[in-house]
Amino acid sequence: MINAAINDTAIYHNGRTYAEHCAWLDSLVGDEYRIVYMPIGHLNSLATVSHLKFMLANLRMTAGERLKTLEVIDMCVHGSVTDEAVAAIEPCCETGRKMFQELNSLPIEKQTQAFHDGDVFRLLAKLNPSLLSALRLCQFNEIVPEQPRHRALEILQ
Amino acid sequence: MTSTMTKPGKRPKGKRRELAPLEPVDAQDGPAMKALPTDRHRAFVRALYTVRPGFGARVKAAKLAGFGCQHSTAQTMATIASRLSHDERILAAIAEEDQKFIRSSASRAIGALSRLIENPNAKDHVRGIAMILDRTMPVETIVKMQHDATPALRATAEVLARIADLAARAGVDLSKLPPMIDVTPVSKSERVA
Repeated sequence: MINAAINDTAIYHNGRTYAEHCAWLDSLVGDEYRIVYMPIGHLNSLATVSHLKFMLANLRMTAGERLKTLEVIDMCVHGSVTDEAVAAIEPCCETGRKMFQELNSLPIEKQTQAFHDGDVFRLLAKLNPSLLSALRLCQFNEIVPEQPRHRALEILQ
Repeated sequence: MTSTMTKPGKRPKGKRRELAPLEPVDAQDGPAMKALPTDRHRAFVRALYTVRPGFGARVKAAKLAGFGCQHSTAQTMATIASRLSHDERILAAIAEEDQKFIRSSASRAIGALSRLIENPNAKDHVRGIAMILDRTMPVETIVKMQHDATPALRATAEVLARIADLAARAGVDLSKLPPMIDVTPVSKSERVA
């Protein structure tokens, strides 16, 4: 990876050279920036909340099951994921449920990785835009840029 | 050295050592050994433990047990030995004898272990000490398991209050959720009353 960073032509990440990767990161704004910079575990948590809310809304449960489901949702409030973000998430749709069914059939170590490799969150967010609304309510350490970053201009300033 | 001289201890060819008669020591065989059809079968099992291990050991055991005859060819003896050693009854008897050998060797093993721990220069001195300590004062591992099988998650007032609290925090409208299985919904008239 370090060699690929030194070499201008070697692939650094996801089919991009190091320079291309840096340029891509600088071009990220808004929701794309949030998706890329949010840890994949938190993305998984947000998506899971939408699935759990679907289950709450569509399945008949005992009081104990309902309590446990709500406690799992409450446990997703952690780190960058705020209470407001969890509250903003709407239940997923039937297609989303099927996606979660596929996701849950994977080994546990691959379920979170799916959010990294397969851009599952983007697909789920297309079906359920409230996930993006929730992502906007999450805490980020840096200010989310609204304009692409131009490093050359920053040096001149 | 002349060619007529023989090496000391070497048996003359053509003469087999005969089985010495067993002394009556009133040793009891196990059930698998007793279940064998003849004494020759039992002798075969015992001979398997006395002949030198290696190629031809089973044939030698069969010969020592008295199977075959003077004119039996090597191929015949090999067939007899193979059939004997793959007989289920013989296999059961071998398993039984294995256990006996291991159990009867325990006293020698303990003796060797005690000599080992007395010799601080031995390579496995510490290992021997650890083996004995493990068996006399084993390290106890206490695993505390909590299995909650109490019906604590029944629809009590506390549980329902907690559900309402968590649902409010998660932005879930309880009125839009399907009724719970273990809760009888209260009609509006009853609620007013």
